[in-house]
Amino acid sequence: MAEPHGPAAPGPRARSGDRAALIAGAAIALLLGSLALFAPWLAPHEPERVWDPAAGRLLPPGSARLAVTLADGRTLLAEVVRPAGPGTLAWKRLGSWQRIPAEQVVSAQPINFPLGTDRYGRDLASRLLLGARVSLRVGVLAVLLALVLGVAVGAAAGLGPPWLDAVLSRGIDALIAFPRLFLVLALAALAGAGEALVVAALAATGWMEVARLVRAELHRLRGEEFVLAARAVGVPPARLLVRHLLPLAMAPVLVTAALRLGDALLAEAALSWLGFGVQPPQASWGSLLAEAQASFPGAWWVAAFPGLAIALAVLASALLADGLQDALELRGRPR
Amino acid sequence: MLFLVVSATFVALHALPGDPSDLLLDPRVPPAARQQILHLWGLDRPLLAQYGHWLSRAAVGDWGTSIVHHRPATAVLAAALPYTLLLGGAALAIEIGLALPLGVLAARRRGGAADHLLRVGSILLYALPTFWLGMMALLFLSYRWKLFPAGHTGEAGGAGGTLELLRHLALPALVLGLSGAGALLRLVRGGLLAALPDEPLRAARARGLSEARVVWVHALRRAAAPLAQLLGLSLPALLGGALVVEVVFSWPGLGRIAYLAVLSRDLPLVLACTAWSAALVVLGSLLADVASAAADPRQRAAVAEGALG
Repeated sequence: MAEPHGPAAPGPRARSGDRAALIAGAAIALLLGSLALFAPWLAPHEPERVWDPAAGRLLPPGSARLAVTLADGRTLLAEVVRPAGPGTLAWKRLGSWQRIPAEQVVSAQPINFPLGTDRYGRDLASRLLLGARVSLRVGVLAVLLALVLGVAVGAAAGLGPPWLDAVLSRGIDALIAFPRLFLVLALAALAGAGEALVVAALAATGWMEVARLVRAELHRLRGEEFVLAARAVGVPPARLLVRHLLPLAMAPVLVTAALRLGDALLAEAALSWLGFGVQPPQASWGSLLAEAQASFPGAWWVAAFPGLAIALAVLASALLADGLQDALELRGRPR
Repeated sequence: MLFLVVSATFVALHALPGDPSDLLLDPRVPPAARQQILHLWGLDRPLLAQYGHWLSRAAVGDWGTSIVHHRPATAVLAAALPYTLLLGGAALAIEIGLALPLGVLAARRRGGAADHLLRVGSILLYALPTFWLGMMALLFLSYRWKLFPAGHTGEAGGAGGTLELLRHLALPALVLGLSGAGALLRLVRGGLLAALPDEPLRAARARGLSEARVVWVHALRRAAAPLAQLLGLSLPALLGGALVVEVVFSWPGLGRIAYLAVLSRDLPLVLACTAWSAALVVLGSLLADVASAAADPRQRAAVAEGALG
């Protein structure tokens, strides 16, 4: 936005760098979001397809092969295919040349693996794209659930009777002090594993910060004149909360939500990596890393790319939170 | 507080579907023998009775017997605790050693190139999954370039001694410290910026003290109390990070024990781990409060009150 005179009173944080954080965060988030959304159409190959279990496993990034379809229906990957005399072809597969009768070969198509293949010979780029769907879905759902839970508890503590506030605040303090991963691990492992459970476990351990924040905001707003006025006019508490208070408390909640998303993504990754989250063969960034353990330390790419994807997503959420905080504070918080 | 968390864990672990006996016992075990074994472990009694029994024993320091290790859970954890403390302490030292000077630098050069660079760097460090950082460190520093040993503690024992232990400690501590340093750096910067324009600092500058002295001594001191508290709040994250780092590097600490216990559904041990890790955090927070009070006299009364209440 081009303001003719610039911000009226440039606060200590109103700097161009912060706007850049917001824009960069939003751009990366948008990019990752659309990649995940359109993953089935963007993925170069079917994520579960094993091209050639022997010659197609653990190919480094940028590998190009020829997918040779044979008359018996098998597909094998060859490095080079060339004619070798009448009715005979020669191909180089697994580093050695072999001759095969030409009538056995139905077709040969060039095929690329931009990020290489995993230990079963599946295309890593496709799995990463499809994994983005799962990871981001888990993260977003977990944060949404945590928001609902957090706002509910926070509202109860912020507007309820003092004894309820005391009880809830103590509970929040207790849970917040807890190493999250230990708790999620115990929950997830003993209730089984899987996507729904990860969402539930992350939501169950992620709502406390939101609740604490909402409570503090409501305490701050509670004494404001417009609240007293609304009460005097007889606005019912529920309506007061939803129509008047929550919209005002939403700004900091939005910032936390962005931060929570990053945390949730990291927790999902750790959980799936430990083997208690999204289960292979379903791909999530964390489960890809879990699978990468098996081909470690030989094939760096199966571990490197999913990790970078996680880092990028968390980076986007941190930048968004950062930028949002500055943008929202800039707009004059005390109304 | 501790009690709440531990009780919640107990109920959750026991109420959830999945019977430890399924995992422990071969399905071919005859029902009578199965019943006998369950009875031996006290797993056949009602939940409330189990809880009461467990709590009364825990109160006197008996956390039950690990089903897998066949040793008291306390003994298993006591053997692991020093390793976690060592790892956590070393990581914390690295974290503070990195974040403090860099945070001060960022705050002094606020808005400058160094500040922007550090800002991006700190967010990046925060964004990298700790266990992934560990995997990459192992891959490059241990396997490729063979700078560090890969995992374990150098159990050769007496042969290498302390030096060997330190060599094995270096990489996990570095990874854990680095992954926490990003967040701490931002806190230091924020804390300093909040303290920098204050009256006493202006007074100190007016007295002709060098800028370095103003920042390092006066401003940092003003920022120290909230920073100590924030450091206390970051302990759960440190312990969670320690869990995955211990798994990556096969470091025989509390986190790895917890992970293995969960894998084998060793309920007494899982419970004990959960409780002990919570206790560590509570203890750490208490230390942070004390440190904070030491830095800020105004808080002393509050802390004393909190400790009693």
